[in-house]
Amino acid sequence: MSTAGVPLKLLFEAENMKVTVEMKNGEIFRGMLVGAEETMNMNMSDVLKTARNGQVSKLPNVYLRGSSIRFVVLPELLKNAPIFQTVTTMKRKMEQAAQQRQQGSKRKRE
Amino acid sequence: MEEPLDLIRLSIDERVYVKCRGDRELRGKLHAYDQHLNMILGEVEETLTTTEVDEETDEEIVKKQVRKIGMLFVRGDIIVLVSPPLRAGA
Repeated sequence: MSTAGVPLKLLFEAENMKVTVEMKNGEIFRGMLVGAEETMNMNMSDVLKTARNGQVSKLPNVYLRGSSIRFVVLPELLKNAPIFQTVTTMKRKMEQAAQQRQQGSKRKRE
Repeated sequence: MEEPLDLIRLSIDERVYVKCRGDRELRGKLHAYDQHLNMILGEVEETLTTTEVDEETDEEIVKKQVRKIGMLFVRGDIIVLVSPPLRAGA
């Protein structure tokens, strides 16, 4: 299993979907996510690039360096992704553990 | 032992306020995060604040631009602050 955190795993789930990447320098790239790496370097195809001055250009293939990315707009249907199962279970376990700890200390007082 | 990241864990599936570099603020539902502070936010509102100084009057013109995004992956290195939503005008 990779060392990738949950957010990065969701980015991998977005492969073969249309995403919009905003770079730290304000350039925007919208296109199909062909592949993403653990460094967040991304390969995209059929890209529409919007430069800071508003100029738009079409690029068939683009490779973006992860460290220059500010954020990625993902398709909303990803909220149904299986990844989130682990997140909700983790939170529930945490809350259960906290409840048990509270109950445990109450019993000691009695 | 509770480290600062554990406090963020408490906000999972809750709405959060995130301050970013470049005078940006994000308000959204925290779906996931990692040790780099990369985050997945849902139903996000991004507020971009720009300050211009009028040449003639020397007054500061503060402008705010808001945009809404359904599902957003935020790279950790732009994040400056994470908190539950501020009560006043959140």
